[in-house]
Amino acid sequence: MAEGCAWLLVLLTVFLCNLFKTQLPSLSTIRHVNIPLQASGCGENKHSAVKARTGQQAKIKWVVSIVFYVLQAALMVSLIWKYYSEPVMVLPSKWIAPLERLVAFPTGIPGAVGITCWLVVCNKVVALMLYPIS
Amino acid sequence: MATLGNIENLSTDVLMTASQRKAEIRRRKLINNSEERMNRIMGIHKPPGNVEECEMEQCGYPGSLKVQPSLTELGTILVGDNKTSSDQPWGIADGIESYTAPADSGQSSDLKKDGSVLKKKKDVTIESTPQGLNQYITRFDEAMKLRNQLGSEKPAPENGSGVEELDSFSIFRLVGSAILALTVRLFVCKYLSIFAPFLTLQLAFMGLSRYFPKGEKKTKTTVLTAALLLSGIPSEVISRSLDTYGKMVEVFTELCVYFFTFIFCHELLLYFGTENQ
Repeated sequence: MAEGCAWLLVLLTVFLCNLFKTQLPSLSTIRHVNIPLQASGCGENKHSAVKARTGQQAKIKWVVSIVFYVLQAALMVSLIWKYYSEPVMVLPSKWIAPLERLVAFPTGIPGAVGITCWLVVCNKVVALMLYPIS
Repeated sequence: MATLGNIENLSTDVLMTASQRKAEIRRRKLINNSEERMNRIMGIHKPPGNVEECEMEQCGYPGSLKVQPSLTELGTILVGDNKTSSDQPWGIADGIESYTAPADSGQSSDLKKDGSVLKKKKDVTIESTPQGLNQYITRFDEAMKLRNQLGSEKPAPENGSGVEELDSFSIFRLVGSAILALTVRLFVCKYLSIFAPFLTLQLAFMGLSRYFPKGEKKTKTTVLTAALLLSGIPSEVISRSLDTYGKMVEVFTELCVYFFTFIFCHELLLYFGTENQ
């Protein structure tokens, strides 16, 4: 059952990653709202406070983005490592002729669907599904 | 006799300064045009150096001659000479040379160098500068247009997977691919490869495209397209390449949707098949 659900596991992982990516800007905005305004009253102090807040917001956004991309890269590498020689699913080889070898990469098993092909397909489809949200 | 000689020298000096003055005015006009153009491209708003020209005309003082003109200015000087005076094709150069001859006591070395450089330049660039300048001017104009376009266009929203804007025909194609994948999984896959019906579908879409309203695809001016345009590649070639690339991306997206739908249906059928068993 676990092997039969490999395609679903990869699909859900890609979906969560892309969903989190679309929500990244809103996450950094939430952090920004929580930071209270320190200065008030005098014009110059207010201007410098706004400037400081904008800079802080940009830094937080930058840090959050970097952390996210590092985690995403680690997740993808771990998936590829796990399913490098193991097919995500197996189909009759004549169904996917003449692209059997390309689809089966890197497993090399005729009729298998390899992790790279499935990752690319899932990424494209999930991006399309999340297009209205993004 | 001495007075006659003095008068003659005076008149030649006056003549030289007048011709020099005219040459200098012409040169400054050309330089100001190219400067203006460069400033417009770079977004610097400076008034052109017309004040110097007025001063030159009024005072008749050739002393404000630019000592070390840039290559561009040298080119413009040469072309300006070729275009403006047929009797004196090397008016400015000669003017500078003749200016250097009596003014040995003044800025002699630098002006002599300019004169010799101009002489060499005129021999080599006489035929190529008009064409080269036209090319240069057209590229400046293109660069300015691109700069305005880049400035006026809104920044594209961040999109990690690079999904293009979906119009009605794109949505129709994607839905068609999904429906075909379902049909192929249910009825066709036992008999032939799943990619054969997909290719047939693409051919059908090519024929159907003329019946759908074509939305005006605005060519996005990016840094890449700007760099390609400025490097001399014609805009038609760039737009055709971008169109071809866009179509390839569309077909790849439809293939991904088709394959995903096929696999999804296959797995669902397997799951429900095992459940029924």
